Amino acid sequence: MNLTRKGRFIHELAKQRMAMTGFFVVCLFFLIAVFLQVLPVPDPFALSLHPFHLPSGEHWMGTDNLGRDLFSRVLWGTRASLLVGVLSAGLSGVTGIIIGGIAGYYGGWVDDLLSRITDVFLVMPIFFLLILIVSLFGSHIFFVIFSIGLVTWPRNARIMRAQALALKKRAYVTAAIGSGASSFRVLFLHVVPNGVSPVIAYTVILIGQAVLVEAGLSFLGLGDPNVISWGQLIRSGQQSFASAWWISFFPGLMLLVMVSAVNFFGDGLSVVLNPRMMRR
Amino acid sequence: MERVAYLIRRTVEMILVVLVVAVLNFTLIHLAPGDVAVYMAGVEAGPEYVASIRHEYGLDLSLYVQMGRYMSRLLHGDFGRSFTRGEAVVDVIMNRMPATLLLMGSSLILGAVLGTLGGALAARHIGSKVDYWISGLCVAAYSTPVFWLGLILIYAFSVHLNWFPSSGMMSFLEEQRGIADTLRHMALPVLSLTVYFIGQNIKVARAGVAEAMQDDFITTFRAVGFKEREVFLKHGLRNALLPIVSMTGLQFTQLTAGAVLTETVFSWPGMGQLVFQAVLSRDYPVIMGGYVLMSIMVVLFTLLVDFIYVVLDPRIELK
Amino acid sequence: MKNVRFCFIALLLLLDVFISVAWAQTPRFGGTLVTSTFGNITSLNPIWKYDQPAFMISQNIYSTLVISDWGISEGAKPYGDLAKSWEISDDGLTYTFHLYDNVYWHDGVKFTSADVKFTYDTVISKKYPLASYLKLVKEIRTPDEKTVVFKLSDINAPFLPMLANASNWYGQIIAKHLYEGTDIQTNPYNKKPVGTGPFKFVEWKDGQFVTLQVNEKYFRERAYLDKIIWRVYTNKEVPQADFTSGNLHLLMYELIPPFHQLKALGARPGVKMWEQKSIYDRCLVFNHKRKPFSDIRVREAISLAINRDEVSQLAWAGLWKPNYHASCSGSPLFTNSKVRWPDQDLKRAQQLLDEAGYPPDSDGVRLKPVLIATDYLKPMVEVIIQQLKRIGVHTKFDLSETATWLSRLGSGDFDLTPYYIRFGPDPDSYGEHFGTGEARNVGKYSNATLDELAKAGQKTLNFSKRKESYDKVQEILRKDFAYLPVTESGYFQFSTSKLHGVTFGDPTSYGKSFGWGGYRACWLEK
Repeated sequence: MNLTRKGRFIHELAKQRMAMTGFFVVCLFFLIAVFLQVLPVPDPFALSLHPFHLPSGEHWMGTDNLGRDLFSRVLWGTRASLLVGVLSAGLSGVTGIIIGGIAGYYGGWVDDLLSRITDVFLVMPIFFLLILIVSLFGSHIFFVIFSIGLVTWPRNARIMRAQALALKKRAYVTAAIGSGASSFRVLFLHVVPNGVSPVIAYTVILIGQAVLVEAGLSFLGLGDPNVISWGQLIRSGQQSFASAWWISFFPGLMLLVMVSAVNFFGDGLSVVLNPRMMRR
Repeated sequence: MERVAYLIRRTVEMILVVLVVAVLNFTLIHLAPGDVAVYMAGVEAGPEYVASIRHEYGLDLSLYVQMGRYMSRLLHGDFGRSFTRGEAVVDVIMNRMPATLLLMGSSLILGAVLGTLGGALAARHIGSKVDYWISGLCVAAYSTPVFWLGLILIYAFSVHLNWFPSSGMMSFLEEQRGIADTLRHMALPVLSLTVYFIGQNIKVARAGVAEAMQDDFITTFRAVGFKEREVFLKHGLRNALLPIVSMTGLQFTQLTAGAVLTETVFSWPGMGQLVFQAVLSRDYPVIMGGYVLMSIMVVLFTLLVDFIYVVLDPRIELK
Repeated sequence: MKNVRFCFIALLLLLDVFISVAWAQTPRFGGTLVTSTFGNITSLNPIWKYDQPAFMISQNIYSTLVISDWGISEGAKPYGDLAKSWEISDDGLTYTFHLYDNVYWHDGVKFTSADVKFTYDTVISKKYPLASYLKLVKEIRTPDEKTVVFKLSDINAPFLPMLANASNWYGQIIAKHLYEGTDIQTNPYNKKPVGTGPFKFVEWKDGQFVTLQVNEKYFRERAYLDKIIWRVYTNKEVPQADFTSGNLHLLMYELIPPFHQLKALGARPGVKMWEQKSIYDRCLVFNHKRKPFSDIRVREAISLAINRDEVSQLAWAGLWKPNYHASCSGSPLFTNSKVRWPDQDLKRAQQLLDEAGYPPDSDGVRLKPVLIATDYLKPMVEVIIQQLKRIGVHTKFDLSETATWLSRLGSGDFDLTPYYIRFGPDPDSYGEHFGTGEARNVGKYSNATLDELAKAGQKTLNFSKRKESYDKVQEILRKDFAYLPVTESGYFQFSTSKLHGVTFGDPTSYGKSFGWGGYRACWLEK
């Protein structure tokens, strides 16, 4: 049964043109990030005596305030963005699945408690919270990932909870319980795998959001300075925007392209995984 | 009656939530490494001044005592005094609140209205090239970093074309101030934010309208002789309202990011920028006050959206 | 007849040109100046806390007892603002200030010595920032309305110069009749300040701008400008756009474009670029309390690794020159020119690191020190980090905002930090920055001989005796590689070419502006 489902899933997904384009673009970014060191691009840290140069044959995107090649810096920024996007979305997804699953499946006071906790996070001004955490406790990139993941799980939890609520009445779940499996096994071996699709779709979209949030934090000066990131590049080009527009322009354009690609792909996934949602 | 009970229950839940938010944030702030007294004293000050500041603001007391004092004052509506300004936090924040509400409110409303219209247009020509392009642009719209867009808008419309002022909320010359002046200052920041909101709203509206148009009784309407346009407007559009309201509610909860980023880029004197600067200068009372007030605003808005839902859609099942 | 008429017209034209030229150089009364400040203003009462964006505004609203501005070339001598003259007793323990007589507060009440006593007593009792410069003040007496007497507990050469300098930031005199008996920090006059300065407060729109207008009843000749408007900016792109479009007359030093674009901006028609030497340098400070920099060999190695010319060219576009001395060119009086840091020598640097026990590992990395800094000196830091890689030192850069940076400096949680030593207005700053346990000694350097020399320098008012002590201090700093001077610094500002009398850079304002941010000597052509 699994095989045909998978096959059908891939077939449906492939029919979505925009989603596949998005997927390929994201793959391209992945490849760039992974193989960056072997690509024939200039050293992104190499200072030169030619700052603020217009894009040219030698420097495809021009140079920045210390004469560093912007094109290579923009490519290096891919790493930070993908790292933050995928890891924080992943963390958020996993946390959401666990909490939402438990809340929906066990119900009762467990559900009430976890739902209230979810409410608290949904109501809190998230960006303020992130600014507070990062500026008070440190801007190391793993800390940023951890923080973003930790404040964005509520919506995933909600989705998972709704799924768990619906699924726990299904026949195969009652059968599993009847056959003596522990509720833990039932939850994580039967309910979660079957209800996880909308969470996955949302998590993919969350990748895009996480990338934008990280860019926003870096833009405000709260990102990790030891890592090249697009938000940071935009920030550094801000002062000279009127005369050296390319320093802020290209990183922002990259953000737009990557997040759009992720969103196209996520939308396609949603459509395929949620047949009840709007059809084209 | 059942609905009233539901709303009352939600309200009580939300009040508790706000209190939990306050406690959580207080703990977070006070667990932070670094000494706020050192910062407040400034680079040139000596250790005695630092110690006196610490004592004056009760920073040498234990966390529990400080939290207890803060929460009890909070329940009386006293948010304390700003470390950096000396004024009451409520005054400082209320001074800045209208600016943020003006910006956010305009963007949300504009985004909702234009989004609905755009979504209806796309749904009308569903499957066509127009629809395809609109959908594509929408995704691009909400994938755009709002601060980057802001910089570009300033560059294009302010620096080059000089159509709009580049920053601030009003002219510094008294003679020039007025509604028209404020509108001119609002144009670019509102545009940056609205682009983001429109993208999301068009998608949602389009989905709502298209879904409605597939309903069975549409064929009935058509058979009876209603004009296509009437059917579309009356039934299709109305079905888009609930998702739009829901989306707007969601956007409201995300508005802190937009507020901080846009207000910083455009030097807009709002709450987002205030709280951001307060975080940088460790002005704890203002940070706390900003959080709690923002949470209250979100709660009120969420309750409002809940209420609208309950009123508008009889099919909603109350948990 | 035609000839005569022609000559007459020519003469008139000549006269016209002559008058215009002469007129252009004569200060004109009137006009509104639109200037800028960076960051949100939180208080217009400067004495209880240091508010960077507001301090220049406060300098125009209030007056101080004594003041110094940048421009005096021999190192910022103090001159009197509210003090007409003063005498120092022979034993150096009594300072008698004679105040101007016809001074009125902006609300009409007469200013007296009681206001001075009230302000300073409040500062001392509440331990406000200025108090650290008043530690030796035993007593303040006011024998009459025009006289204030300070009695010190010990002779202290830096007392007056430092008081004058610090008064720029938080030494303004506030009104006794408005503040006595109230809580200074919550007093409503903090939002609608009343001072004795050349400009009166009009309005303050939080986060947007502050407006001042000229004080017609100022006790000196009134200022030239009619009105000043400070526009508040929170980012740097917008004020530059406003300046180039003519909506801003003065781009202050914190809002200028990156160094490499300054010359281009200055070359634009209608724009004037102002340069002001500074008494601050740009240096690197070591944390002496822990490894690796507790070892003098490592400090020397770092000193030999940097290339000041590169830093100056890459980070500062050559506008801030390399500095090899334990002083800076803005303070020539006490500079010991014989004391000089060595030039770059990468081989010797690596040798020293080997000797100190830091050989390179398989990747060539010898050391991984932690450097903390704020955005402010980032270009310099980035260049130095690359330079240190050449000797196998891979620095971890912890960028943070000011609060965290100050905190980590205080707790010693760092190895390196860029810093700015203030070489003036009095050489006692050597003691302030390198004396054991002093507030500005962020590297926690300690040398008993230096401490003694610094003390000796305080306890005499004789110039040559003091110079001797401070010359020796500089020798010690170099021998110990106590810190690392990198470049000089300076201030750049831009204004419309119609603006004259700018405190940063225009000699016509020296001694007349009453503070670094004072606009009393500023005037605008039509």
